Amino acid sequence: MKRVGITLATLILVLCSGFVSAQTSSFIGKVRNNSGMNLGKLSVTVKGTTIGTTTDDNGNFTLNLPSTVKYPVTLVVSGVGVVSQETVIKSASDVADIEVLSSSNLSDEIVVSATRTQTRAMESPVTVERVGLNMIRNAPSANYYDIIGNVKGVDLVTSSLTFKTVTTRGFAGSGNTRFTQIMDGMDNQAPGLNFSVGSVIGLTELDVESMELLPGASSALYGPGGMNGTLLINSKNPFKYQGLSFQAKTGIMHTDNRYRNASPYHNYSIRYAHKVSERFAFKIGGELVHARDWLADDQRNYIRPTAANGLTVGQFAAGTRDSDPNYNGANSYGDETSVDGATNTFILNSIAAGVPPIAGFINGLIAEGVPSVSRTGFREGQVVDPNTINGKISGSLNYKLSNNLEVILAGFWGTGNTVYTGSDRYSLKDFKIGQYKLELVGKNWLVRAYTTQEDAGGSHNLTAASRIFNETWKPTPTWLPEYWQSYVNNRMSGQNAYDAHNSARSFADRGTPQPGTDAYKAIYDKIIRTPISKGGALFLDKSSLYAIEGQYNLAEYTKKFADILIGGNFRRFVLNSQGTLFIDTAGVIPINEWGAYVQAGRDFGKRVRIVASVRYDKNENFSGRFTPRATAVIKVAKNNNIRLSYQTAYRFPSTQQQYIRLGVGGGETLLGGLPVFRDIYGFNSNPPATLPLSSPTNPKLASFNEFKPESVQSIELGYKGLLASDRLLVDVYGYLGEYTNFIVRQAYAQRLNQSNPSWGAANIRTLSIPVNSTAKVKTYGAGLSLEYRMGRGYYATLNASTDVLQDVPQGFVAFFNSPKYRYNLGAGNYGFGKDKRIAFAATLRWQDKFMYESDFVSAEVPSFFSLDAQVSYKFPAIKSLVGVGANNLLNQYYITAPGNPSIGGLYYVRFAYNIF
Amino acid sequence: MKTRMNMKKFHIKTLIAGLLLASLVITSCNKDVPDPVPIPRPSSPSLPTIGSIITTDTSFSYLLAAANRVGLSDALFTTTSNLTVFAPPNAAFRGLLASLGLPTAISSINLIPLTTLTPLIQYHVLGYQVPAANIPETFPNLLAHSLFALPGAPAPFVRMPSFPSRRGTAAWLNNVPVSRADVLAGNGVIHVIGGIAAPPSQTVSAIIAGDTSLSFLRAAILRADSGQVGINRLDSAMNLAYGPNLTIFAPDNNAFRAFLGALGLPPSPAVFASLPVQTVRAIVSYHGLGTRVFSPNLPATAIPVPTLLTPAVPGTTLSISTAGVKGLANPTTAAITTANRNGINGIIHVVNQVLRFQ
Repeated sequence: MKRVGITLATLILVLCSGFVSAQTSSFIGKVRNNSGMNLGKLSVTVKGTTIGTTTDDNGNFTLNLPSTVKYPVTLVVSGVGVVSQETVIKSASDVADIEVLSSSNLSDEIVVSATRTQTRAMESPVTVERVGLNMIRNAPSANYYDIIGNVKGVDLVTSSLTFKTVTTRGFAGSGNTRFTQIMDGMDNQAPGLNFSVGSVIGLTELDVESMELLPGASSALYGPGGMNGTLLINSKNPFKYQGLSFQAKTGIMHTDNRYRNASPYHNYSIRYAHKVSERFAFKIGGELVHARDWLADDQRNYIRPTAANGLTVGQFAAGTRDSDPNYNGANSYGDETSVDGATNTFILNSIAAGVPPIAGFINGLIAEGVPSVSRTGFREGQVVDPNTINGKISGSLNYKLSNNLEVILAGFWGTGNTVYTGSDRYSLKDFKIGQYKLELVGKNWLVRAYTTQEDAGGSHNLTAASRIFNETWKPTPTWLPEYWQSYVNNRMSGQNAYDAHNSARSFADRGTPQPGTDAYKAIYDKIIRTPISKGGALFLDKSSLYAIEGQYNLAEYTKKFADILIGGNFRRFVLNSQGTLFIDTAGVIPINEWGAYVQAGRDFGKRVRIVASVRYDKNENFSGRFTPRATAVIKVAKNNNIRLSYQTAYRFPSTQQQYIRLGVGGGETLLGGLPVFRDIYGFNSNPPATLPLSSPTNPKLASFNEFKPESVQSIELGYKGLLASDRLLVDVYGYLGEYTNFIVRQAYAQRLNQSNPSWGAANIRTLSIPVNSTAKVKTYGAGLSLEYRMGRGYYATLNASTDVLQDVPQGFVAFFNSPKYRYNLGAGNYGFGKDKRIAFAATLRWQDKFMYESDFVSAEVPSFFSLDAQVSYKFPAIKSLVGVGANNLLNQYYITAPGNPSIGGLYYVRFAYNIF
Repeated sequence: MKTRMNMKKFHIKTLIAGLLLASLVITSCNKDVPDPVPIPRPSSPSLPTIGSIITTDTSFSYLLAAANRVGLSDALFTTTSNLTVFAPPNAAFRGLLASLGLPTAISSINLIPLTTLTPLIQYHVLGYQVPAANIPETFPNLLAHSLFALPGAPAPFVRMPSFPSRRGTAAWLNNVPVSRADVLAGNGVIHVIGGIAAPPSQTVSAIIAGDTSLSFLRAAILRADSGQVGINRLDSAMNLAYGPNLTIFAPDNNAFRAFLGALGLPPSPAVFASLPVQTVRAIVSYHGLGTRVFSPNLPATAIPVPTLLTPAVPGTTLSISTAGVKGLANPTTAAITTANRNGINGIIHVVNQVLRFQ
């Protein structure tokens, strides 16, 4: 951080000294539409350069042209609501009174993500969904990131108000390693977690220019990862978007006091950008979200799969804390500590041995059957800080070395308190991620170096913390005899077994420090501040990622033959958890990977364009891989295109799947899949057996094959077109995907004492190891979206999509986790009434019920709907806007995954100043 | 222009109607996370509770009053309880009141000190169900755990034991006969008993020490313990409230005088000091059993039972029956002259012969 600061300071000095010598000439112009109305907030750029500005509210603009620019120049006017227009200016004295055509805004969207070059969305060779400025400004969302959730084909898993995970085409999870998020060209993943932490680190709302979503396989262009999709979020360049902007959304949540008492929601965002000269501009911004989080409070009794019960996925069962001595509530932590019936029988026999006269009585109790008994847990609401905070600061310095060469130094830093669902629920407390980049953008090329620095802060595992809490205030070896002595006494006192268990629990739990008290905090806070390696629940994760990448568009030289694009990248992960998450007790673990790609595109006649690309990637722990992609776009008619693509994608096992070593709730240990673990755990001399055991006494021993990257091949057919007099935008796609070497976790038993032939529970430990499934998993799906412009700014949208997993082998847990059907229905207007001051939008989302599988809780997610709406009113004179909005307007609670929080209504008022 | 306005209104209406329709018709309400489903409590038989039975049957008014006074009535009326009550009828309580020198009216229950009444009532109740069929018909007595916690015991669940027994259709609590067994209630079972079974208050050692007609036995025990320490002393074991569960066939002084006379020794307790410790210890141990047997539970036909000496000298059994008890070397069966002197940790039956194994 300090080093970055010094670099920034140096760069500012260098840049500032450069202003003086820059010679410029001014050029003044005006933009209006075909009805004569002056148009503000349009972008005016000089074609083929990065020189540009925006029009003011009266449509006027001033372009400062460096002396190096020679007339004639071509100005490109573009922006929301207009058809992009090119105007040739012959000399500085030319009057630039540019008239542009209002557009239906349906055909002129430009996307970059589909081919890494600017392409009209209409002509994109693969499905791409774009969320632009207008949509962000008018979205009925308390946070811009939520908008993605209403795009077709998207599943959004909400682990916390500020922790949302986007997924497309199946395999959703809280934290998705098969989906890549790229922010301003940087892979947004937390290096120790292998997925992007939602929008905790990312752009501030006022700095987002656009979001582009590529559903489906995309690693041919974006590298390993992105098996199921890639989300690109792009920020606003300070040369183009200037001035001070501010937005406040303040609202209320938990209005029905159901999970928590009604509490405020705050989201403040500020951005300031200034063009100091034609060569230098900078921006700085910040955002703060503060609220009391949604609460996960599923108190159903959950049976995790274990060696003993032979389940492959967990399941809910009848039982409450009062009615089941071995109760384990899904969102109740600490009750995972369970003592089995055999051990409890041993305790009862010990009591009998100490008190011979009651031996007969105790034998009678044992004859009734001795149940397993769990420690008493705490609800999530009792152990998690209800305050969820997300603070972001970002900024960039942009300097134009020449008209075609811009250097960008940017930093993005975020911190937050949030809750994430992995194999347990984790409180990400004071979590910090910084991303810093230095980028050089030329006319046809770019070079970018960046780093991601993660600090888990006070993050801890809620299950582990509560279990350790119980062991700290009263160790189970003390608690358990108290429990059973009391139980015997209660049975002798005339209580039935049901009451006797509850009284015994009250007795053994007497004096438990209660959450909220100083006595509780004294113990709990110490646990969550003590690293896992020292017996606490704290993660020490300061993993980092260093990356450098470059791209050159050779089209200028090769266009006679084809448009050719080449690029390459190098990435280095440095895992640093001090043994609390990874097997890095002896020091940090570096992982290097590199890749290169080439893409060639060529038009065949006026109707067909074919783009083919191939990429090669190598990770030091895995053999290299080629991933090809081929696409074709066929122009059926103007603004009507059919697209066809064949793509492959793959991902190297995540850093956790390579190097993790972590004990989890069910008493098992998660291990990485690299061969190093087989040596450490002595699999050669003491081979483990697959669970559930094939035989209780002589199970078949497991053998391990090479641990490989998983890959997917997919084909997609799509159509995008404008119908009904260009009022109706239709986009439809269908895809097939086949996954090979699918990475799944498999549970194994290994004998603790190899000379003891027993495979009984007392002589085994459970290890969970990622392996490649030999099963080929197939998916298919389709999506349709309709966007209808009715005139006067009114629009209505409908999208529906389906994703299906097929040919799942018996007993195979795929973690597909996607509803078969989902749809979004929307309507709105970007501006109507006097001076188009009023805007509104409403979206209704519905998704079907589906079975959700995870290491934490596997169960059905019921179908749900959510209605979001907002209305705003502009005050053009003071460049301000006020509005009201609601997420989940009808306050109909829903969950997106079992064990995740119930999400209710969020109602806010909004004030914004000078938002573009 | 006007038509355009209408168009616009039409569009807005369509939109709003569409959204409302979608939200109301297609989706109804979301299902929130369901509450956990309790495992049902084991259902109690739909019979009246013990409390209501002894309320309805007025021959237990005194018992009910006593249970109220000692705070036990909640347990008797709670449907989820699981109890066995040995229920003395009113007449038995009147006898108790008379023996305490109190008027026999029901109100006198309130005159009995709680320190007396509480253990007494608790002693008649077991915290679990023992229907008559579960009481074995064999020697020795069943050791049952009353609600009366043993004072000074090392754990709360060490209770003052009581001793049901059964022979055919006849049953007893200790030596008090059951007049009507198996009155089934929703929360347990009632056995009506003929009298009050008083909880013991002394150890076996204290009973012997306090009875001058057993002074020879006392002297013999002390000689047997010579050179022994701690729990190895027979007297210490017999004085331990918690743990031992004994039956002592206690020869009275006359029996010892006859025994000593036959050996040509002076009939005095002092004579034990001149006998070898091992000999005296063997004789004393031969008079004790490691289980408790009340006289109603003595078998009709004699059976051999192991004694406290048996572990050290195999085969040294006693032959017991309703007729009395006979040592291996005794020519005749010794009669029980005073039966059922129950202590906390054992029972004493006074016999008229010293029992000999050789």
